[in-house]
Amino acid sequence: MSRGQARADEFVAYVDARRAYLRRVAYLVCGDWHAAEDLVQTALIKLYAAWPRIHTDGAEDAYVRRIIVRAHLDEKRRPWRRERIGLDGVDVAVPEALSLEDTDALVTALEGLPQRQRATVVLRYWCGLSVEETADDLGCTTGTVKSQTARAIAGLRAALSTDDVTTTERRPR
Amino acid sequence: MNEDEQLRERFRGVGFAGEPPMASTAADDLARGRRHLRRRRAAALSGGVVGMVAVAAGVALALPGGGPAGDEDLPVAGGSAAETSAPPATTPTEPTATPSEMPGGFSLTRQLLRETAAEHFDPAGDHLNNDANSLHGGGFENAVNVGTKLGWTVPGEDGEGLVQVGVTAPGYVDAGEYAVENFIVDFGCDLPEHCTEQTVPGTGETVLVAPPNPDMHLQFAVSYERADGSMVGVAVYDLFGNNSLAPVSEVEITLEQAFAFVTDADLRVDPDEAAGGYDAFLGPEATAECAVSGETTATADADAKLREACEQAEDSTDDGASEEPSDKPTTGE
Repeated sequence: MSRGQARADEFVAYVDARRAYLRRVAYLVCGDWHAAEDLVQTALIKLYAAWPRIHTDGAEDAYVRRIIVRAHLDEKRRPWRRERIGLDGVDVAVPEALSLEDTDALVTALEGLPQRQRATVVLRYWCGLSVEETADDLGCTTGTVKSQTARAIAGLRAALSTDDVTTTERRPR
Repeated sequence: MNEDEQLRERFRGVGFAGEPPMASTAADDLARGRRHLRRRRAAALSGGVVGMVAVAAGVALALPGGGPAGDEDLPVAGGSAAETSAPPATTPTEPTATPSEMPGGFSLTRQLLRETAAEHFDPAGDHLNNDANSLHGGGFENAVNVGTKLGWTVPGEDGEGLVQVGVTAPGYVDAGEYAVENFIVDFGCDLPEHCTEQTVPGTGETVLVAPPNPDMHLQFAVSYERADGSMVGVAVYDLFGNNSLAPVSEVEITLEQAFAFVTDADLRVDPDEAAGGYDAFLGPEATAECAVSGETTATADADAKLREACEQAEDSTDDGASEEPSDKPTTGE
């Protein structure tokens, strides 16, 4: 088997196994399935280019996750992304009510967080990364991760009632 | 249960009720990845301006007294006449050609490359062939990239190895968007991430090192960016594919010797030749055939100038032999 074919086979095997997970990470980070798909595609393109090194290190998930998060944050910094729909004060959308029964309550609450806080909390609590790993993914200091996490939790607490946060409902992922 | 654990639990319970089916398959991702890689490599190889200038030294060899006899018998795969002019492995090396005798441009720079390589890699003169007739490079109008390929033979062996060396003019790294990538792709870094940064012991200087690649007969390669924005590189192969089908057992050059070569402060593009820009590639007497990339980008004027010069040279060229962008074995992709 040629080196190129081996690389392709390994890459396809990895994508088959992890694509769904990666898209969920992207969705939690950006809050939109279509944007999540774009982020995953972008990240996988870069992964393929870097495959020999990344695969050898066994760092595929970390590499893709990092690209997803950073690409999303970069995208949000672009001016056209700051465009606001509608006219200020004229047709403001009514915030969606949170409900304990709403399975996406937490996701909805996440949407209210600033992008970096949102990414931080997803990496820390959904991906289960340590403070150091999260800092590495975001390209910031551990102090920044801690402060962003604290603010994010405060934001989530405000969006979800205290009872809501403490009443956990286990559902299969 | 503290707040961290509560939140973690809550995240574990997140449902993805509205999750749409996958819009893309792994095969699609593979196709996109391959396309991206091809474009990236093409961009690196095209150099933004020049694909390659090859010296058709065959014309020079056709002159009385030119070239060693019997070259026609050598198995040559797409190589230039310049490289086939290297002596067979078992042929004693000939006297070093003076710069003025070298076909093509940048003869002084090539001579310096050869002499510097000999000084660091083969001070006894047992292995390195004496000619530096092949000319490789490109770069930018105001910052050229000059390289040559030197044969390496081992007494008692029929094969031939290759030591590829190159140097650019100062300011090269800032002369174009992919200048560094264009240079290092010739020194084992077909993708930058394939190479690792290493610190040269005792100097604190950082170099890029390409690991061995048996598929390409590459033992290793080193490239180095200097403070003045010039670059130097060396790649060591156990097979000089244009000259021989048989590799040598080993090209005995160490990484430390390569470090010393790339950090040699005396190695540079000759200032007078550098001042000539692209025109200097053609040299005063050479006939040349140029393969100019179709994907030119940043310096279209310079590209057009080179193309024109090359067309003029082609008109006066009897031998249409040309050189592929790289005579190294290429990867499958």
